[in-house]
Amino acid sequence: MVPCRRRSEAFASLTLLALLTVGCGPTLKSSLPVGASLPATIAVLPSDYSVDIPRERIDLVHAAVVRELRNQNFVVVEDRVVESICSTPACPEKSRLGQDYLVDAFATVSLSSFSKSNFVAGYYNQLQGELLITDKNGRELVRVDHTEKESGGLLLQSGQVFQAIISTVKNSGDRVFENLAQRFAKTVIEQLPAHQAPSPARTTEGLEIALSSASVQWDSSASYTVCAQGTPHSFAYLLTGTTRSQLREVSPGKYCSKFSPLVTSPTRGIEAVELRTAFGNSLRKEIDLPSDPPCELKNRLARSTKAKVDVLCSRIGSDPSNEANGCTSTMTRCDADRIVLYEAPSLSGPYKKISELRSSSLPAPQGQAVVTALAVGVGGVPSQPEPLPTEK
Amino acid sequence: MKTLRALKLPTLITTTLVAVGCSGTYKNQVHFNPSEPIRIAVLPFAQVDDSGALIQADENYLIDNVALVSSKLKQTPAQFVQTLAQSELAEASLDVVTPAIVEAALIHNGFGLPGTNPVQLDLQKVFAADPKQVCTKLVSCDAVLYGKVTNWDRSYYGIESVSSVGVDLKIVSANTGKVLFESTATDSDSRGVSKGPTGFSNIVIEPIKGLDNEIITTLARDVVKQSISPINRKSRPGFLKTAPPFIIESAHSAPKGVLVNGKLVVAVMGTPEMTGSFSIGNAIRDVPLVERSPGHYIGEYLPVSGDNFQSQIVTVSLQDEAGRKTNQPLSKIAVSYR
Repeated sequence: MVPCRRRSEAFASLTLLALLTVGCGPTLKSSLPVGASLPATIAVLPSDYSVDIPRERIDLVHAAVVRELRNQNFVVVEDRVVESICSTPACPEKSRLGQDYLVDAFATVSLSSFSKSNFVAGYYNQLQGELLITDKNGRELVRVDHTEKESGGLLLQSGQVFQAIISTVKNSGDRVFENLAQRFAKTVIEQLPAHQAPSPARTTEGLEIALSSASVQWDSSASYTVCAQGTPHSFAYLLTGTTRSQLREVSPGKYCSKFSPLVTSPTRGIEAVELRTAFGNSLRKEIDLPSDPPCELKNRLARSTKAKVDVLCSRIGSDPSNEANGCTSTMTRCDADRIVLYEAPSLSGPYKKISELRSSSLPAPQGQAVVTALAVGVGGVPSQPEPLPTEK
Repeated sequence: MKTLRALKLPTLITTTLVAVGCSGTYKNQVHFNPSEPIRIAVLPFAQVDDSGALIQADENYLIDNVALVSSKLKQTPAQFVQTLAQSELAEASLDVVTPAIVEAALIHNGFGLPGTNPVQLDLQKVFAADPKQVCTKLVSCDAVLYGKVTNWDRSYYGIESVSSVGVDLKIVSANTGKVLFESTATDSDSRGVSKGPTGFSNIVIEPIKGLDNEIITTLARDVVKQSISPINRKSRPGFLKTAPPFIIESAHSAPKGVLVNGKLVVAVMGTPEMTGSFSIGNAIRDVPLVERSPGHYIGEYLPVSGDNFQSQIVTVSLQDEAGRKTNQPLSKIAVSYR
């Protein structure tokens, strides 16, 4: 009886083994002509979050698919580029991706279900989804359906007690889905037919990049402009430490952005301009962000006599000690286009506009109210608001 | 007492075997700040033999197929481990140069083996390449990652099978030639008597099942993950011991959706000491926010010529050193500029 039981145990184990190794694979449907290859340049369209799976998990699978496509030497357009162009997951603007970035195929990752079942003596996780690749005209090239499964624990790994315990412990953490997502992506991408090698012309147009110059210039004491000149239709950024701020393409190949001097608060690490292609190839040029605004003449208001307030000028935003640069704290009389007065019952407001004078001087305000004045210089540049002491 | 002693001995042996079977050796050194956005070119990985000599990739070294037990994989162990490392580095938020670009650059710059079709890379030459040359003449990068598979073995001992994987990784700075990160890892996984078989048939079957590719590839995934974990933000103390950033309140200066005084000022109140930024739809991305006082961030969008957007939502975000990002859309008032 005992040998018979063992034989049946062995048979059952072999059957289970056979079942585990057969019948779980992905399903590939290819509409490619025989011998044809997939295009090498591909964009993964934005994720569709309308399914009943948390957004973060969908993002994990999306990121894993992008990584695996790159691992298989596909040339994949960066997600931020796709996101900046596509208004919906279906991306009606696909033709722009094709024209501007030479994308030949589009991948869509759709997840249909995820389940994680933990029971006393085992666990069973499952992720089901599909990868669809279409060409520029929306024609389906390849469709891969796959269900990634993972099981373990004492019941499902009944042959190995300690292994069952180890796998159960591993399954208790948050990384379960991450592992499942990675395996799903790897399995699905491995099913894809071979892709073409990127043609030299494509390589030159789409991947090579040049960054000829990068500059920083103060516009006023309130802003400076960072510009870069390089390959058109790329993506430029100002890197300050770990912050990446976008520069916009103002004309073909010229990328600029204005920044408030606030951005130059002490940064740790790199200060550079980076130009990236849509495929992630990049070049950098280090720059020095200015820490002090340049000396700039700006209107100020000051009392010249007991009864009169004059508009004076001083160079603000400057280091007064740096007289070599024309910086000085000395105030001189200068013109204002107009002076605007605001009145409030106390310093904290609320303020209301009481008058606007076209003059460079005004009588000192009377009464108890707090009066704040703003001198507007030629060109509409306002001064700092100055509270004016009232004549008592 | 005798029974107890008899019980204790196999328990001890088994526990020791389990402990031995599961414990790997991981050594690593980090000499850079992984938060910096450095660009890494991953050079082709190579397998080394017992003497440490590089083995040129060969069809014979494909991850093999044991009939009925495992499915065939299309890659060599070195190629497989390289893809794992690339994925882990990208997940660790390092800027990995697109592998296709690196491979194309190497092939077009004389790193191919003459007479091979499709062109195979000359690994001796690749490993001898100067990182500065790679990062200035071939691709644009700050550092180069070299990877070696030092061990890839599946052994069958009748009542036990053991899968072993060893991986060495090294990131070298292109500017200074300094080693920025170095990791040496070996680990193994076993199936059979050490994992507590539940019957005599399992003593025979489980070691055979242990030869499945799935086990060695899963082990390799774990080895690479653990090797790269010191530079992965998710395993750093800042990530594990702190809460992600939070945003209490945020506002912008366009109550009617139109820019006032030619600029848009955005203010955020949230976790102090974060990196802040805001975006206006997809049109204007990542304008910096600066922390003027603890937890109070302010930033300004100043238009440049060509800026044009209609009814876009401003989204503010705070990001911590570990890379966790919290967003808050200011969706009540969309902003326009032309």
